[in-house]
Amino acid sequence: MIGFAAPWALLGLAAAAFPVLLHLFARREPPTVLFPATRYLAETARAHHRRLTLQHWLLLLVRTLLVAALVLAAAGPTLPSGGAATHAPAALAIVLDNSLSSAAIVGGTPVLEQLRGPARAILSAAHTDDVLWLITADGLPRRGNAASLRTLADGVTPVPWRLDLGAALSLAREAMAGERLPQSVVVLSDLQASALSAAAGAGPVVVLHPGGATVPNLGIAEISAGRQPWGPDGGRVEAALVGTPDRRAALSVVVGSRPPRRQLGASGGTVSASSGSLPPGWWPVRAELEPDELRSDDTRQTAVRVAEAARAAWRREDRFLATASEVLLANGRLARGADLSLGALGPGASIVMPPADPAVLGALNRALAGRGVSWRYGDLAPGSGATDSGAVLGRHEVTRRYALQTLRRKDAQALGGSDAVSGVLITVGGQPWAVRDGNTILLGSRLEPEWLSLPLSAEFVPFVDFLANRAVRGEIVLLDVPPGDPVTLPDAATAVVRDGRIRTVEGGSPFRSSETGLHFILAERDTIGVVAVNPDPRESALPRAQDSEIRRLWPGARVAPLDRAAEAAYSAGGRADLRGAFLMLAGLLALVDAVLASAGAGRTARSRS
Amino acid sequence: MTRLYVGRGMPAAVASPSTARLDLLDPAEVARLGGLEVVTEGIVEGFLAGLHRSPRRGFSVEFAEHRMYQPGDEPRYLDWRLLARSDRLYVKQFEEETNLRAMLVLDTSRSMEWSGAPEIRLTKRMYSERLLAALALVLLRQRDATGLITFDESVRRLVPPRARHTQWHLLLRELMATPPGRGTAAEPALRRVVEQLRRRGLVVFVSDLLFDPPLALTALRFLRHRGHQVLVLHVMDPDEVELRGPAEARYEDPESGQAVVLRPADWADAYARTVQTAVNEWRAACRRQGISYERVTTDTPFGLALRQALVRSTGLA
Repeated sequence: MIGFAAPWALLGLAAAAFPVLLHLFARREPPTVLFPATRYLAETARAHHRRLTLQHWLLLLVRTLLVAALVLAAAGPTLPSGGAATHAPAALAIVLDNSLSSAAIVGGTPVLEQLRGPARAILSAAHTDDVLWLITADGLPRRGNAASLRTLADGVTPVPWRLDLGAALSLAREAMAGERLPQSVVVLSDLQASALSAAAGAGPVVVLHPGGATVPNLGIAEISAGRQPWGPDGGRVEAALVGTPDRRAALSVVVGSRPPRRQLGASGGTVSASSGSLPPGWWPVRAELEPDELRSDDTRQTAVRVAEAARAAWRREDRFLATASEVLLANGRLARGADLSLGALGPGASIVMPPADPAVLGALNRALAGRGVSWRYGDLAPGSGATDSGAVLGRHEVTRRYALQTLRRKDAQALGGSDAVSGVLITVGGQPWAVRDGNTILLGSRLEPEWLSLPLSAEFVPFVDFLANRAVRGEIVLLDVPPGDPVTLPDAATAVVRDGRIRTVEGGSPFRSSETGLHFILAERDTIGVVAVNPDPRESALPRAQDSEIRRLWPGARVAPLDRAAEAAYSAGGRADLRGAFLMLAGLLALVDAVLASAGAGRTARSRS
Repeated sequence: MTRLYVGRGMPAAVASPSTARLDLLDPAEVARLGGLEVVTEGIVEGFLAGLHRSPRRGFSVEFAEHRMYQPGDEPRYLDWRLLARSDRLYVKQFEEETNLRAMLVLDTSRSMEWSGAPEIRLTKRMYSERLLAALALVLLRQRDATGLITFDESVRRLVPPRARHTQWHLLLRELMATPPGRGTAAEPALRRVVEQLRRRGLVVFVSDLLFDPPLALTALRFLRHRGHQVLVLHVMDPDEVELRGPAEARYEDPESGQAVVLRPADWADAYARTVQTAVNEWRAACRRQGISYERVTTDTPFGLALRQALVRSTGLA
C-alpha cells in the first residue's frame, strides 16, 4: 500500500485538474483573421483533424499527469519493501535487549555482542531525515541521530534487570506516536519466551534474534530463610532453582560467617540447608550455583535476623496459653523473664487477652489508655465466625470475641483491609481480631476452646511463638525485589545502607535500586529490615519464543535473521522512497509534453526550410 | 536606400532608386515610388534594358529608329555605318507587325484584396495590376493588340484588344476603376475572352485561383482548343503559402464567410502540404492541356515575374 511522508501535500492534486478546467472553461474566443485561403485550411483540417485531436488530448493527459506526478513527488510517496539504502524517511525505534539474559555466552560470544552489531548496522544505514530512538532494558526511550545512538549502543552492557519486550514495544510506539513519518520498531533480543507479552498500539515490528539453539542454564529463582527472627540455634535456608529442565548443579549456601553448605540441586527443585547456630543480629545469606553460560543468575542473597528467645511471664490460670508457653520454654523459644507478659497487660511488652470477667473490661481499657495504646475492647460481637486465613494464621472457628476498636480515624477507615501498617494482624469476618500498637498486642478472644478452636489445633504453639518472638517485637521488613522495582519503606525507616554507603530516605516512601545485593533499612540506629535486590527469576529461563507466539502477540511482526538487520529494519515500515521515481516520471512527462507541443512547430520549421 | 533584388530571396548590393532597376526591386517599395503609370514604365524600362535579346521579333521586321547602345545589346544590331560616321554606338531598333492579340484577364474578387502583411507587401490585386500593366506595356510596345477583362462574380470591365498608343492608358484606367468584387466566377470571364479573340492569341489569366477548378479549367481548356496560348499566373501572398498567425485564431474566408478555428503552429505543416498539393494539381491540370502555369508570390520582383510570364507566353528573354 502506498504511503506518504507528507500526506497534506496531496491537496495539491487538485492542481491536476487545472489543465482540464482550463481546457473546458477558460477557452477564449480566438481573434478572427480574414484569410482568403481558408479553403486550404478547411481541407487540411478535414484531413488531419483526427490526428491533431488525438495530439491535443494526449497533451492534456500528459500535462494532467505531469502535475499529478509533481504533487505526488512532493507528498513523499513510499511503498513497501524498500531496501536499507533506498528507504524512505522513517521513524525507527530500536529495542536493544541488554537484560540479564543478554549476558549469556553463546558460541563464545555474549548474546549482547551478537545483538550490538546489527544495531550498529541499522543505525549506520539511517539517513539524516530518519527519526531514531534507542530503548534498552532501563526503559528510557532515547532519541538522537545515528551517530549519537551508535555511541550509546556501543556503551550498552548487560544489566541485572528484566526487559518485558511487550512493554518495551508499547513504549517505543508511544515515543513515536507524534511522528508523521512511517513508523516501525526493531526488537533486537534473545527473545526469551518469558519476556514476551502483548503490546499496546499497532504498527510494523521486526524481530531480530540470534540463530541457533539456546544454551542450557540453571539459576536461583528464590531464596527463603523461613519465619524470622531465628533463634540462636539458627534455621534453614531454602533455595528454589529454575532453568533448563533436568539441569543439575551444586549449590553453596553461606549464612553469615558460617561455613558454606553445598548440595546438589536440579531445575524446578528446592535445596534446603541449615545454618547452624548464630549469634543475635542481622546476617547475610548467599546462595551460589556453579558457574554456567549465564553467570548473573547464579547468585542470590537475602538476610536473616537472629534474636534471643523472648523473656516472658504467663499465668497458670490461662491453661492453654501456659501449656503452649511451657512447650516453647522447653524448646528454647521462650525464657522466663519479665520482658513480655503473655495473656494480660504487663509493664512491658504484652500480649493481651480479654478478661474472663466482663466486669474488669473497663479497667483494662483504661489501663490500655494509660499505656497510650490506641485500641480498645468493645462489646461482645454477636454470632460466631472464623479467622480469615492468612500468612499468620489459618482458618479457625471463633465462637466468642470482643470487638476491637481503634481511636485513629485512619485505622478505622482502613479496617477491613488487613495489613501491618494499620496494626491489624488477624481478622475475623473482616473485623480486627488481633491488633498491635507498639509493643502491645490485643486479641479479640481468649485463647481457650470456649472462645475459639485454635487452642485445640496443632497451629496453636507456633502461633504463640509468632506472637511472642515476632509480632510483639514488631514486624521485620524483609523484601525481595528485582532491580528497579519499587518497594514501600516502613514508616519508621530513616536510611538505607548498602555496602557501607548510607542513603537517607523518608519513611513510607517508595524505594528502588538498580544494584543487586542487600539494602539494610535503618530506623535511626536500629536495623528494621532488608531489601534484597535479586535478579528476576524469569530471566533464567532462556528458551526462545516461537515465531507463531510472536506473531500472535504482535500481529504483523516479521522475524528475521540478524545478518539482514538493516534491510529488514528499513523494510519493516515497508517503505521505499518513491520521490525519485515520481520526479523521473514527471521529467519524462515534461519531455513528452515538449515533444508533443513542439511537433507542430517542428514540422513548421522543416516545411519553411 | 532601397534593397535591390537580383533574384528571389537573394538580396544583393544596395543601390539608389535612381540607378536601380525597378523591375528587380521589392514590389512594395517600387509601388511606393509613384503612381501605377510611372512605376510601370520604370519597371518595363528596367526589364527591357536587362534583356539580352531584343523584344522585337516578327515575320516582317522593319527598321524603326536608333537608340544608344546599352551594355547587353547584341553587337549584331550595331549600326556600323553610323559608328563609322559619328564614332558613336547606336543600335538599330525594328518594328514588327502586330501579329498577336493578347487578352489579360484579372480576378478582382475580394480575396485578391488581401495581403498577409499590408505594411510591407502589396495586396494580390495591387501586385497583379502592376504586373499586368507592365505586361501590357511590353506587349503594346511590340504592337500586340492587348485587351483586358476584369471579373469577380461576373465580368466587370472589358477592354477589347487594340494596339493603339492610347490603349495602355485605357487599360490602366480600367484596371484602376474596377471595384473590388465579392465572389469569383472565372468561367464567364473566360468565355468572354473567346468572343474577343477571333484569331489565335495570347490569354494571360491572373488570379489567386481560390475557386473550384473544374469550370475554370474547362474554360481554359476551351481557349486552348481554340488555338490560343494560355498563361495562368497564380498569384499568392507568402502568408498563404506558409501559415502564420497568433497562437490560436479563427480564420475566415472574406468571400464565402467559411471559418476555421485552429492553432497555426499545429497546422502549419499540414497546411503547407495542402497548398503544395493544390498548386501541383493546378500545374498538372494546366500541363495536361498545354497551358502555361506560373505561381507568383507578391514579394517576387516584377521583373522576375514578367520574365516568367513572357518566357512562357512569347518566348521572350
